Amino acid sequence: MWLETELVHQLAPVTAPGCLWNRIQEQEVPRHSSSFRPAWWLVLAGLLMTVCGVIGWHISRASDRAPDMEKLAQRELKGLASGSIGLNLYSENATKIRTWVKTKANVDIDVPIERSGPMHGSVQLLGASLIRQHGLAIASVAYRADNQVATLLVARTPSASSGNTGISKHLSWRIGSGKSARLFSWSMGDQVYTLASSDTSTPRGACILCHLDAHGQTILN
Amino acid sequence: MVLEGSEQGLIEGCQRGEREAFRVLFERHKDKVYSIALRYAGDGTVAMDIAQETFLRLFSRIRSFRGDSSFESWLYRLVVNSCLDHKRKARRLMPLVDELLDILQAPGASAMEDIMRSELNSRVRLAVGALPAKQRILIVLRYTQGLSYDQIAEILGCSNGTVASRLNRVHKVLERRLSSLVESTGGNRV
Repeated sequence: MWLETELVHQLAPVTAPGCLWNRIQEQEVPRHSSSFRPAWWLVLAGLLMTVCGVIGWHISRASDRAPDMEKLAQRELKGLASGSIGLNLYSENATKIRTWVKTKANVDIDVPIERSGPMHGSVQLLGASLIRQHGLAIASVAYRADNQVATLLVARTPSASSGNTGISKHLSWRIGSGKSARLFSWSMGDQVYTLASSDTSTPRGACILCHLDAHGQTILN
Repeated sequence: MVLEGSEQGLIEGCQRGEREAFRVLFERHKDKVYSIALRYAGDGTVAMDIAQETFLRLFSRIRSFRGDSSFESWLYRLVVNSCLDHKRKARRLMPLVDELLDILQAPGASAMEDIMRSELNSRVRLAVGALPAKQRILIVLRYTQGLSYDQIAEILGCSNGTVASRLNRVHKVLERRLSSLVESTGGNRV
């Protein structure tokens, strides 16, 4: 009995502070108050995290393709130089190669390879191959520049490469080097490119596939 | 405009969005809502948050009030839900210290008796505050508002028997926790 008396005494009603109405007014009465609001925030936060995760995963995958492409390019180059691997298409015709690559890998070779060919002396197209890696179709265009074997790998991807990147017409690029190859990777549009040249002293020999005019002069385009 | 009138008239005014009706309804029930919040939370700041949340819920949901139960029961359910939804905040110890200092400084008072009284008060409040949320709200409805078992049962959506048994259980818990204090004062509550 003493407990009940004590509880009545201790828990007696009180008067509400005068500022309570002002606090309620500040909240723009009436507002839609709902116990589900935190749940909506949780759902939105969850969706946002999922979207970020998916985007991050895609970016990560896309970023990882440059090193993969470089390894692949080095293997291709080594095989071409030693003659241990063949090409799916042997041709010196740039248009034929462009069409074949578009058909097989859905890749647009938008570098001006029409300028290359026997008439340009130092650049000679050899042909093309299709490589599949992790479900990705990669076109490999083999050529010889300044008597050095080189290969250009092109794949369709939504993002750019990673590494020592810079900004130019190539949008983002990186320079690397292997044991017996000079590597140059970049992205343009929705495609990534990796060029491997057996000339390890300078990338010029490989770059002239695109950057060479009709008079044999190096150009920036 | 609604200045005075029956509860039903006020409710209908609120349902029509009349601001003055909201104000009158608030004035009628603010002490009740705040008292429950304060006795439940044991902290004035938290009680203000709970009371504010309760009235905001009331104003935003009053259009859905159809009078299936009494308005008072509906309001009690809102404040009970606000209390239970509110995360329990750390109890403030400073008021207890202030209270003790006031007693010690009060002229002509028997300091020892007042300290014992204060100790009992604080122990009771702490014991109530230490109860699980559902038991605490039960005690508050019963002893702050003096509600009957029937009224509590309607608010909490359970039977009279359940209310009685839960209260009985809570009483035993509180008695056990406070028994040492009562014994230490020689059985005479101050």
